Amino acid sequence: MSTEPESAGVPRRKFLKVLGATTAATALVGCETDGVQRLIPYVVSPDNTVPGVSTYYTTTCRECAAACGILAETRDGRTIKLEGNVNHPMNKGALCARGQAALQGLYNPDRYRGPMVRENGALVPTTWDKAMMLFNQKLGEVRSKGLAARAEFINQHENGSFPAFLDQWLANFGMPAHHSYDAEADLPTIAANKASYGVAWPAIDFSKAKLVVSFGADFLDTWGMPVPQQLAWADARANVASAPRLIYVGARRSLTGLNADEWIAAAPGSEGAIISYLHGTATAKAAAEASGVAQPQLERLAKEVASTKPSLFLAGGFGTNAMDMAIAVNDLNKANGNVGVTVKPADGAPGFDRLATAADMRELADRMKGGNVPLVMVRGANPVYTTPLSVGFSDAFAKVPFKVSFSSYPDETAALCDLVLPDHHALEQWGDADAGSGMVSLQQPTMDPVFDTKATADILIAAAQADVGNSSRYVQKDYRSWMIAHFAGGAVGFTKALARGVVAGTTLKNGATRASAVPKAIAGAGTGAFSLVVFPSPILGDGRGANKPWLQELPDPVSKICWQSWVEIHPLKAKELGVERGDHLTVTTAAGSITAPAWPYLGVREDTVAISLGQGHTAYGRYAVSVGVNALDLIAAGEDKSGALALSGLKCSVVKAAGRSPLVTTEGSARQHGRGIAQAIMPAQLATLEPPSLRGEPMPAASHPAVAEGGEHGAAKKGVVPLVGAYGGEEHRAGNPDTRFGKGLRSPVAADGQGQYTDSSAKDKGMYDPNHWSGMAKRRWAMTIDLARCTGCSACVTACYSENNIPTVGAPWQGRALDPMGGYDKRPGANILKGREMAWLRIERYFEGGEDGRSDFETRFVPMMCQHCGNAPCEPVCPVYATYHSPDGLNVQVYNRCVGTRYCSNNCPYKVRYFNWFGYGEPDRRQYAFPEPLNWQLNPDVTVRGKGVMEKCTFCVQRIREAEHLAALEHRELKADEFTSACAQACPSRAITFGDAADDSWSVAKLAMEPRGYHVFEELNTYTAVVYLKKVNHPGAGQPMAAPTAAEH
Amino acid sequence: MKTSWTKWAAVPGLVVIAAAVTAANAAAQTAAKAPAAPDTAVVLNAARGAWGWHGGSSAQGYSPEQPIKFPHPTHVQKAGMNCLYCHFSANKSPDPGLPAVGTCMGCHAVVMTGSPEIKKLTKYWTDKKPIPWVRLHRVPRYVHFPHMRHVNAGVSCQSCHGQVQKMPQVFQYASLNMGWCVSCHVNGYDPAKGDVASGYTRTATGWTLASAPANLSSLPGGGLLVADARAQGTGAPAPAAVKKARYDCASCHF
Repeated sequence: MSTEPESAGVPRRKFLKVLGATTAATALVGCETDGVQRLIPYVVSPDNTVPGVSTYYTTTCRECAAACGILAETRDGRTIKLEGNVNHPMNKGALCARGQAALQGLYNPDRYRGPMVRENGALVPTTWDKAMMLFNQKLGEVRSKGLAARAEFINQHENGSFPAFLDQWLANFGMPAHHSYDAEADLPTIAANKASYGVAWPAIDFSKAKLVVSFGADFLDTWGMPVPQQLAWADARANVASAPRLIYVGARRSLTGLNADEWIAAAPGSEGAIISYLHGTATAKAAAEASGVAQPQLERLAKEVASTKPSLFLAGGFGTNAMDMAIAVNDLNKANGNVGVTVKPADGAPGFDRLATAADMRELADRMKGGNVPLVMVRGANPVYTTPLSVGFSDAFAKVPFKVSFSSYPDETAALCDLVLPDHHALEQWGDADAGSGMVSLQQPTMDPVFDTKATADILIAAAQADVGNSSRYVQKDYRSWMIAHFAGGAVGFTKALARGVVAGTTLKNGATRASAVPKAIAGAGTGAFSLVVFPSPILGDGRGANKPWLQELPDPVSKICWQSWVEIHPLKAKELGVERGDHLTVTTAAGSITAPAWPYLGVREDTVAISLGQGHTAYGRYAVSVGVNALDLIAAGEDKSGALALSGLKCSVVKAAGRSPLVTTEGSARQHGRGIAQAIMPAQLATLEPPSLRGEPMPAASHPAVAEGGEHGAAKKGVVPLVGAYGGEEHRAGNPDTRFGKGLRSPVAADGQGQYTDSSAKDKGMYDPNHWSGMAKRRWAMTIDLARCTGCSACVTACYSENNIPTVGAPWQGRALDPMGGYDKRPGANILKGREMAWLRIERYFEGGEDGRSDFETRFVPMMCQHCGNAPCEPVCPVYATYHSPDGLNVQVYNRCVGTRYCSNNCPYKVRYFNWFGYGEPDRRQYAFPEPLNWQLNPDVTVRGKGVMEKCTFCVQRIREAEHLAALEHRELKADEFTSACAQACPSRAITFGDAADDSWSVAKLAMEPRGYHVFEELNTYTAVVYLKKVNHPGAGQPMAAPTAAEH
Repeated sequence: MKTSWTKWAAVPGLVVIAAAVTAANAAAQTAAKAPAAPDTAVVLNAARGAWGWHGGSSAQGYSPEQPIKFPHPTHVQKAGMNCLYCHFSANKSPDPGLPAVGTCMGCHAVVMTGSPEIKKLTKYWTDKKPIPWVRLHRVPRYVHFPHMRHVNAGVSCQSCHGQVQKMPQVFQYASLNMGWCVSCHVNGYDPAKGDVASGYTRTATGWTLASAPANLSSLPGGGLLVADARAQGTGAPAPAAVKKARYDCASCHF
C-alpha cells in the first residue's frame, strides 16, 4: 500500500532520498576512522554507586539567603542536575532558576583553578602550602602589630552554623565579628518587621487572605524567599473561586506586579501618602496628589480594604523612606486585624538576622580610605561591584595593605585582592542552614571538588591550628568534624540525617553581635524630569548570576530581554522623546550616568524610568564582562533609615543618545492579536464553562482496527464527531488524520504515520494498535499547565536547559560570521537577535488592554513548548521521517534522521522547534556552548545535538524511558505520577503536571478534563497533548476592565 | 511530469557511493587482518562488503591490542567466573560496568604475581592509575542502549558479544548496526538460539559448558555465562517463546 499519493512533479520524499544517499555515503567513509576510544575504569570502586545510574544527594542551596533544600543528581561522580528536596519544609521539592543554575557556578569555566597570589601587580597561581604560609604570616603580622581589632571579614550572608563558627574564629584572633553582607537583602522590610513585630521575617499566609496589597513587595521575584512564597501564593490562587485578589502599588510593575489583578501606579516614595489615607490620617485628595494616582482608584482601594477581611499588606522596595513606609504597612496589618491571621510573627522565618547594611559598607569604605584597616578578608560577597560607584569602595579597598579573597570566581573584588584562597562551591562543601519549622537543612558535598580549591572553613581551622595561641581551640581536623561535634545526634545521627537532608533542631546560634553603622541620608533626590527606579533582577539578583550562561540567556520574566541592559520607559513618554525600541537613552543622576537601549513598557509610570541590576561587570568571567551596564552607577551614596541603598526615588534626566542596539529579546509580539493563546476568565464565569468537548471523547471500540470501520463513516456511526472535512476511511490519504481516538485526550494520528495500523490488508497492525503486545499505544503522554498558578518566574525554562543539554547561544563569541574574512558578530546575544535561541521551553508574556497607554492592563504568562500534537503539522512535511508520532503519543524528533530542511519548523504553528545552526554541542567549534568543565554537567541520557539538526521539547522522553526501565526491572506497570518532566519537577507554583492522560489514575488525566482547559490553536485541529487551564482574573468591584473577557476568545 | 534533473542530481551521489565502497572494502580487509580467535572468529572476521545486510559502517571484527593482554578464556573457562562478576552492573544499569583495578587485585595480589602481564597490572595498581582499556563496542551517541533491559529479558551476553569466553583477544562480534538491532526487536529474540550462541547448554541445575572442566558444574550457577537472573534459581526454565521488543524510534533515539 502506498500512502504517497501519485502527484505531479518529483515527490518530496524521493528528492530528499537522492540527497540522503549522498550524505550517507560520505558518513560511511568517516566512520571507522573515529579514533581510538578508551574505557577508563575506577582504580578502586566507590561504595554505593552503580555506573550509569544516578545517586541523589541532599544538600542546601546557597544561591540566595533563603537556603532551599536540594537533591543533587550525581552520575558517575558528577553532579548533573539539581532538584528541590521534597522533604524540605520550605521549598517542598521546587527550585527556582537561580537554584538550578548553581550547577553552572560549580562548573564555571572561569573559576580559580587553585590559590593565587599577587606578584608584580598581577595575580599568579601558587601552591596551597605557600598560600597558607602567607595567610598565616599576615594573620600573625596583624596581631603582632596590635591591629587585629581593625581587621575586617566580609562574608556572604548565609544562615546556619558557619557565621557562628566564623565569629568564634575571628574572636580567637582578636578580630571583630564579620559583616554578613547580602546586597539584595530587603533591609527596609526586615528593619520594619523587627520594629513592628520583633522578628525579621514573619510567616505570611496567603491562603487565609482575601485581599493582598503589595507596596512594592516583589514576593514572586526577589523579595524574601521567592520559592516558598510562590508555592504558597500559587496554592492560594489555585482555589480559583475564592482566591485572594492582589493589588500592586508601585511605580513599576515587577513580575509580582504583573501577577496582580490591579496596579496602582504610585510615584516612587509616595506610597506613604496612600498608606496614610488608608489609615484615615490623610484625605484621598492629598494622597492622590502626592502619588499621582486618580482619586477614585484610591477611594475604591480604601473601600475594598475596609470591607475585605482578612487581608494582607506587604511592603518592599528600596526608597529613601522605605523603612518608614514598611512600618506604616505593618501598622495597616495590625489595624485590620491581620496579625496572627495572615501575618504570623510567631512563625518567623530564620535567615534574615544580623545582616550587614549598605551603610556598613560605606562606613567600611570610609575607614579603608583613611588607611585604618590593615587586613580585609572577603568570602562569597562582591562589594566592589555591589556598592555604588559614588561610595568609592574599590579605591578605598585598594588602600588596604593586605586583602584576602576566598572567592571561587575572578569577580571584581577578588581581582583587587593580594591573595586568593578559592573556596569550594556550595555543592562541594559541608554546611547547614535553618530551614524554619524547627528544622535544620544539611549541606553536604555532592561530588569531589572540580578544581584545587579548599573550603574556607577548613582553611580557617588550618590557620588556627598553625597558630600557637589557637591550636588548642580547634581539635577537629576539618569543618565536617567540627559540625559533627556540634551535632546533637553525633556522627551516627548526622549520617542518618543526611539521607533526608533535613532534621529537627537548630543551627548553632551566633552570640557575637556587631552594631550596624549609622545610616547617612542621601544629600538629596537631585533634579530631573524623571524618577528613577533601580531593581534587583529576578534572574541575576544583585549581579551574582551574571557569570552563568543559563541565567544570562534566560529572558527577564517582565521584559523578555536577555544578555543586555535596558531602560524601561513609558511608551507615551518614549514617543514624546522620539525614542523607539532599542534607541539609546542616557540616564543621568547627580551620582552618575549610564546609557542603555530603551524598552517602552506600559508598566512604568510616565514620569519614571526603571533599570535592572545585575549587568555591567568589569570582571567575573567570560559570560559576565562586557554585557550591559551597572545601574548602581546612578545611585547616590547614602541610605534610608534601615541602612539600605535608596534604589528608587532619585531624580534623573533622560535624553536620547546616539546610536541604537536592537533589543535581545525572545518575544515576537507582546500582544495576542486575537489568537487566544493565553485565555482567562472571571470567577463568575466558572460555573458557565461548558464541559470539555475536544478532550475526553469516549473511546470507540478499539478492537476492530479495520480502516473501513474506523474511518469517518464508522466513527460517525459510533457518535464520534468527525475531525476534518469529509474523507472516507476507504480513501485515506497521507497527512489526513485517523478518526479513531484513543482514550484520554483526543489524539488522531496521521494515517501515514501509523505504519500498518491503517492498512486493512496487513496482518501485523504494528505498535499503533491499542492491542499491540508492546502496549505503547495505550499511553498518551500529556501535560496540563494551570495558568491560574503560573507566575511566569521561568524556573521551568532553566530546568529544561539543565535536563536536556540545551546550548546557550548568546555569548559574544558565539555570533555568526559577518563576512568570509573572519569577522563575526560580537554583540552579546547576536544569535538571539537572529532568532536562534534554543529554549525548548519558553514563557510567553502577553499584555491585555492598556493599548492607549493610560488604562490598566493585564498580563498573562504561557509556558510554551512542543505541544506534541496528535495531528502534528510538522510530521507530514518531514521528507526523511525524522519527526513522527510515537504510539505513546509523543511527537518524536530523531536527530540521526534529521537532515535539517527545517520544513517542520516552518509548518509548526507554535514556533517550538529550534534549529541547531552552529554545532553548539561540538567542542571544536567557536560556538561551543559547554567549554570545559561546563560539559561535565551534560545529561548522559540526552544526546548532545550536532550542527544542522532540528531539536525541540521531547516531553523528557529520557525520563519516561528511565521510569519504564525501572518498572520493567521490578516486573510491574508504571505507577501513577511516579515520575514527571523536568519543568514540572522544578515549577515553584506547581502549574505544570505531566503524565499519562489515557490512565485515569494519573493526576494529569483528571486535570485535562477540567472545564477551564483549552488547547492553544484548537481550531487548527492539531489535537495537542498540552492542555492549558485558563487563568482566572479577579477584578475588583468597580475596577475598569483592563482585559477582554473570555467571551472574546 | 517526470523532470530530467532527477537523474543528474543522482550523479554526485553515485560517485561518492562508488568511492565509499572502494574505501570501505579496503578498510574491511585491514580489519580482517586483526588477530582472530579460533572457531567462530574465523567466520566472523571474514572480509565484508560495504553493503552487507548489516550496513557498511560497522567496526565489526575490530580487535585492538589491549594495554594488558587480559585472557577472558582463562577467567571464564578455567576459573569459572560469571560475566557479572566483573561487568557487575550489566543487569541493573544501562552501563555494563568495568572492573575497578582493585577488583583485579582482589585475586592478583596473590594469583600469578610473577606473570609479566600481572606485573603490568600491579604497576597500575601501585601507581593508582586506571588501566586505559581500548573500547571495542560502542554505539553512536544518539543511541541509548540499556544493558539491563536486555540482560533481564534473558538475552545471553554472547548473543551480542560473541563467545567472549573463547576469545584470547576480544573482537567485535556483531555489527551493532541499527539493522542488526531491529532484526531482533521486530522478529524477536529466540532464547533457544541465544542458548546455542552462548556455547553453553541448559541443564536442570543451570548452565554448563560443553567442554567444561569437571569442577565447574559444582560452582554456583554452574559457570553461568548468561546473566538471566531467573536461570540462577533451582532448575533452568525451558526456553521461552520468541521475545519481541519495541522498535519505535524513540525507544532508543532521544
